[in-house]
Amino acid sequence: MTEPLLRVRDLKTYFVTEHGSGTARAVDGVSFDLHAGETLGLVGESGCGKTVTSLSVLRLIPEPPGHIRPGSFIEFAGRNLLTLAPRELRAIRGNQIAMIFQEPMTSLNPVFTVGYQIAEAAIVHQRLSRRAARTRAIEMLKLVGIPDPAQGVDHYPHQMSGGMRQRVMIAMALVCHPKVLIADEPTTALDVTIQAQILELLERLQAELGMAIMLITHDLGVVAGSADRVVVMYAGQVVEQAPTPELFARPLHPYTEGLLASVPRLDAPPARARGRLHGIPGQVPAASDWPGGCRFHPRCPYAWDRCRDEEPPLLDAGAGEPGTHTVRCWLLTEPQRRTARAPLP
Amino acid sequence: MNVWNWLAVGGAAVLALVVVAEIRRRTGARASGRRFFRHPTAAPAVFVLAFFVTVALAAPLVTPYQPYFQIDIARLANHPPSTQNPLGTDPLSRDVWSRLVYGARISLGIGAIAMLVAVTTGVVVGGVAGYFRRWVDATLMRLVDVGLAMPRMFMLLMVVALWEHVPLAVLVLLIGLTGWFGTSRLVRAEVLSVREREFVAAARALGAEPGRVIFRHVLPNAAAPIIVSAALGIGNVMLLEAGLSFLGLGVPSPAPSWGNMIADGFPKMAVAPWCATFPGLAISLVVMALNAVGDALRDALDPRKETA
Amino acid sequence: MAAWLVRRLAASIAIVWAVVTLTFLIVHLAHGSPCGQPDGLPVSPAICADLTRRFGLDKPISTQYYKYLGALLHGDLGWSIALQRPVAAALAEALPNTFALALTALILDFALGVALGVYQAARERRFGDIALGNVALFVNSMPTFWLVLCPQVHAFSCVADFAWHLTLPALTLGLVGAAGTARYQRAAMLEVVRQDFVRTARAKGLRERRVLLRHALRNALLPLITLFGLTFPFLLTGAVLVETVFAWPGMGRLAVTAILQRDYPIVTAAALVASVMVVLGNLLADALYGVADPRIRVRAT
Ligand SMILES: Nc1ncnc2c1ncn2[C@@H]1O[C@H](COP(=O)(O)OP(=O)(O)OP(=O)(O)O)[C@@H](O)[C@H]1O
Ligand code: SF4
Ligand SMILES: [Mg+2]
Repeated sequence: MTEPLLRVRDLKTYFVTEHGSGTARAVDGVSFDLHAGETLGLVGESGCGKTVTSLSVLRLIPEPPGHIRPGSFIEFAGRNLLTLAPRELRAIRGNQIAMIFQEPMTSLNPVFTVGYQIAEAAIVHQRLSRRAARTRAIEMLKLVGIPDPAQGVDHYPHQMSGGMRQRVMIAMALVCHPKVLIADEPTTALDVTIQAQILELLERLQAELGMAIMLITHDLGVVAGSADRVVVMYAGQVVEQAPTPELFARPLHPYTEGLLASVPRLDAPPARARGRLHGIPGQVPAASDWPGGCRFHPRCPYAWDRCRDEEPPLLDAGAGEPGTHTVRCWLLTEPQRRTARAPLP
Repeated sequence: MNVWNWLAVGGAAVLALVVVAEIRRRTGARASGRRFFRHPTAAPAVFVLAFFVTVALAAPLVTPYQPYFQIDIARLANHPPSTQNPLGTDPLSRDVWSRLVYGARISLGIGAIAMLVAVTTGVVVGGVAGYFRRWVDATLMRLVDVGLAMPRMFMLLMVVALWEHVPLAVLVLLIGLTGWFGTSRLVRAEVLSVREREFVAAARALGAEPGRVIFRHVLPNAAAPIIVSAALGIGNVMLLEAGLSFLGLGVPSPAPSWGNMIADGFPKMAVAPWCATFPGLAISLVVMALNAVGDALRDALDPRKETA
Repeated sequence: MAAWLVRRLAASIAIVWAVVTLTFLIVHLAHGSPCGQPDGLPVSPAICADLTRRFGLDKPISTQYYKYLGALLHGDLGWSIALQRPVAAALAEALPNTFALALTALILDFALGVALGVYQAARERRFGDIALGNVALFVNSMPTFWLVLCPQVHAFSCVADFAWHLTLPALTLGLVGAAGTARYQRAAMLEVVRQDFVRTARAKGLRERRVLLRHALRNALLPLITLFGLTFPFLLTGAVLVETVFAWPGMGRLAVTAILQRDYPIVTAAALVASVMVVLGNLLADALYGVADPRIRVRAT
């Protein structure tokens, strides 16, 4: 296999909570790779640390209250982003790694035209003139499918709908042709028809521009259509990681099983409200208060004593090369227990 | 100043410390209380306020003289601070510390009472406007527009100067009655927004009287901004009083309001700077404390932070 | 847009009218006449009676009021009893002085206030922020006239130079104003830097300076416009106390002197000017919002 473009190792991002009385371990030892040109799905329920993971990559965590623990490691194109000087970091942000945020309504600056906001990264990184920047902004608007881009370039964010703003966000992220695009739930805030359009757009742009995409979502259905590989997160940790077909064919972690059970199917009414999985009983615990042992054990239908006492490491599921499919679950060592109990409904 | 006076002052300081500690203990369980005291100036500000209030209430205990008493005009006029007169004496050989303490009664009292008048009026007017809406609202809000368009200092000066011998009570009332416009807008906005919410409709559907429903929900909701603006408003009133007195149109002269003391000491600045400096310092300190408390309260009572 | 403007203007005129009427009432219902007051003009009873008749002060108040309004509509502000000259002339002399003072103070106020507020917000809860915050709070809590006692400068009155004369009152007003503005600006900045679009700006790879001074500040200046709308009339009406302390011949001092001398025409004219300034401040603030905030710009057109 080729060298990954982005390599995250043992990422720990903690938040000191309001009165300094506790620490929220929002991301707690996450590792994954992102290869050039591929799409990696990052999946998990609300609050499991997806956004914090992606913000950590660009070092956008608000400090305080947050901080990335020493020992964490994020390597991009051979350089550790966590030790980069601010100047070098800026040269990567928006230029080599770009990000689309979860909230299209508030992520645009209300007092600047969308054209300016799209072109700004190009002005800064590529020293574009004002006029060239404007032309570039119009091109980008055309690229992301905004009708009448020559006019739209002078519009302000509040004059646009949510779907249009998300397109603007995408245009803004892609203006410098980054190698990596982090898309944090790019469709969650939008309604269903527009969701599909945005996902298609991302896929088309990836084919055209050849970047790697880290697609964050809580919806395995989204991932099924677009991702090459999937990383499933729970309680600040990676619990399963596999190529998409493998994961859908052979989900090994009980949490993944639950997620799959709650994916809406065309022939059945949706069993899932936004961000909450009804296929899995219970709720994600607070990040300041992860359960001991396996963090999933209070909600896991298979849990036994060992799960309560010992935290499982990421184990290899033995599909293809080592590391192709990994799972954080003791069931891998005692597979007979899976059949002992009925799986999730 | 004798030993007992010093002890009483010390006692007042200790009492103020106890007040701070007690408030901190009682509110410590709530997030809003912790947010309040997280402001570095909040605790010192509460201390300053508690100290001045205590000292003002216990004025006869902490002062060696009556505020009008001229100790010895021949030998003790314009005397610099000493152990006997810790803040010096003024040109009439009156003890500045004693006047300052009795002045606290006047200045703080004016601030508090005028603010009470202003807040009450503002709440009533705003509530009435928001409740009756239509022409009542329109009329009252135009009145508020006019009120806000009047320069407050100027109007007060005018009334006080043109009507001779305005008694202190009337002055306080006037200050209060020219200070409610902002509050009424605040309350009105809150009433209108509460009206829009579902639970009012629900309560009304159940036959509850809308006025009761609204007021039961409005006051708690509007309380935070009202309290904050009241804290800031007291300071404002004190500065206003000082300004009026400085122009000779505030509290009638022999009375030791802090504004008066500055005005009296102003011409003697070169000979006896302590006469005007200490009352000015006192005003600044108290107003600063009120501002700091207002800031901290704003943070503590911010409903948006309630979930954090 | 046109309808909006007409409505605004009508409301403004109504406010000015109301303030003038109220002032008129306060002045004329008050006891006493322009002469024979302890701090008024020392005039003999005969002249006083003559004056009273000449100025129509013996007529019923309604008659006086209509006469006054009529004259006002013709641009006639009346005749100052104490100054023995047209009110308009007295105002024409005082207003430019107040303008000079107010403008200097306004510039200092907002330039310094915004700069300090932004600096403090950028260094939130660090030493620079806390130190400046406490200084600003203290300056903001001082009685303005007391502030000027500290340097103790009476000597300046012998320096005839206008600019030097202007410096101290403008400095006083500007610094006190800046202390308030800084507190306001700091809060506004801190509110803005928490918002999502600031993170977006950082994600683009912009320098922190550009993030703060362009993306955050542009938004944090919006609430400051309201403050400007309030400060503007306060300064242009003549900061009464500062003008008095520094013997600055502006509107504030003119008004106070007139009040003390029961010079009614000047008092009412000063109230008129004050209310016009308030209304003007409001209009100016609205116009500024229209220019600075695209969300409002679109709605207004
Ligand atoms: N600014 C912050 N201050 C304190 N805690 C934070 C902060 N940001 C995130 N956290 C903590 O990190 C946890 C994970 O948050 P994160 O936003 O990464 O979840 P997510 O997986 O993106 O969820 P969602 O699907 O809702 O976007 C949260 O539960 C919260 O406790
Ligand atoms: S380790 Fe145990 S509790 Fe955790 S997921 Fe596996 S079976 Fe469930
Ligand atoms: Mg998220």
